[in-house]
Amino acid sequence: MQERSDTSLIDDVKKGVPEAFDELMRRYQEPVYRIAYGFGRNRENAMDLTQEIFMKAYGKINHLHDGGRFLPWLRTLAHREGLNWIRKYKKQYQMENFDESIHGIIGQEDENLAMAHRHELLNCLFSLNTRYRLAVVLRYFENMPIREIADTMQCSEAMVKNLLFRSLCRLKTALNVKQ
Amino acid sequence: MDRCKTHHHHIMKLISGEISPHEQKELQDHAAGCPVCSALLNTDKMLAEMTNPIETPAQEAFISMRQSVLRQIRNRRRPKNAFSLTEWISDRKRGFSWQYAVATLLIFFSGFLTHLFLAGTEPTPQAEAALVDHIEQTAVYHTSLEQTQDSPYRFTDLQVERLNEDQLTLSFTVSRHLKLIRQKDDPIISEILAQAIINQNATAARISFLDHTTAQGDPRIKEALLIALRTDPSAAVRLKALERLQTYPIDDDIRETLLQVLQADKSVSVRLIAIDYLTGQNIEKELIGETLGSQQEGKYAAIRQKALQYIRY
Repeated sequence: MQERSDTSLIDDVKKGVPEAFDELMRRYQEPVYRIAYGFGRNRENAMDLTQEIFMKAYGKINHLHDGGRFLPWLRTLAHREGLNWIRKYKKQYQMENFDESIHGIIGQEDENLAMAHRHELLNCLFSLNTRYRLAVVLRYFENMPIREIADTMQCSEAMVKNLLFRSLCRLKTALNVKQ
Repeated sequence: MDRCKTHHHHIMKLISGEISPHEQKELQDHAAGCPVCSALLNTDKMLAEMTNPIETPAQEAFISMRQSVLRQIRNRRRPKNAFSLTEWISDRKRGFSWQYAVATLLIFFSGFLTHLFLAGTEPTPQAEAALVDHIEQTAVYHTSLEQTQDSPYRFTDLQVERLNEDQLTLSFTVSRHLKLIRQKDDPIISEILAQAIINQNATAARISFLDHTTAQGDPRIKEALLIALRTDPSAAVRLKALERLQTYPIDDDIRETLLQVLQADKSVSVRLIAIDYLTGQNIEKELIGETLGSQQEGKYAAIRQKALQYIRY
């Protein structure tokens, strides 16, 4: 069976068919989860935030007029929800460390020096300010073009470039200090 | 340092994928002798070569998350319309305008009139078509029996006929599960309970519905109680119906049904209570005597004895 377009699924959601929204969630759960992870810093938080983002998306889907731009719209929403989430759980957030599973994955091959450096790099990355971290995650791990990152983060392209450059400087400094 | 500043601009271009081969060559040459730019390029390289460290959870975790979202969605209404009155009102930038206020009042008033006009009318063909449309759209997404069982719609009284080689005619009753909180004397409660008392299959459920019939004087409930008393296969339900009926003032319908019960009910307990009820309502002794007189002697001795006691006094 031919896969239905986002636009047609969104039309169904607007008519009140929740199953169509399930299909949209299935398609985009991973990109949303990765953005949520940038804010939540561990699996549980990221999954909770992903759920909140989808609930918000369902509530606001009637505001989306171009179904073809569902993913960029969803990413922007995810970013905004992530910022709200941090404001909401600010205290708890400052106490939490990022997921130990990241250490675990890298630890398996820790004998390799380059791997150890990457481990350090990730440590530094996840201790960066949220906006810097998100910019790096979207650019390097999601391979998103600068324009889309700017759309998602609701800022100018120049600002994204600036954020990325400053992130690089901070990561470099943090790595130097640790080494 | 100034040269470094120029090259920082090149690094920005490199990060955003906009660097030209010439600029890249220039940057590499500079980085060979500049530890700062070299460290920046190394960091960029490390990040670019790194696979995504964010491990996505197992599909089961996503499925459970999606089910949770769907459950919450089903408990809510449809997505909000693009125009939200609350958002519009809370927009602080917009000042108060009498035109808008009057227009809003007119909209509310016309809505109220429409509601009054439509109250009590049958569902329109458009509403029926919209319902079928919604059922069809729901069906498209169901690929397993589990999903079908989770559907908000229930289909009963199904009849299927073959129309031709390719088509079938389906005739069925469709119901949708809803949850409401209402006052005990709300008409909708009487409406639903009256139907449920005579249609539900489970005996315990019917007894429980009878227990909740508090709307005294409601003709729908009274009629449902009389039907249950005459026709329900369960003696426990008939007893309960009789008990609830005692809260109603006796009238011709009730008296006639009680006499029928006294004459023909299979349960001795039901008939005994029917006698109690009738005697409490000063029904003519002859009428009770006549009703019982038509029955075979020796059968239902307890009933005859009780009736005789009453007739003698």
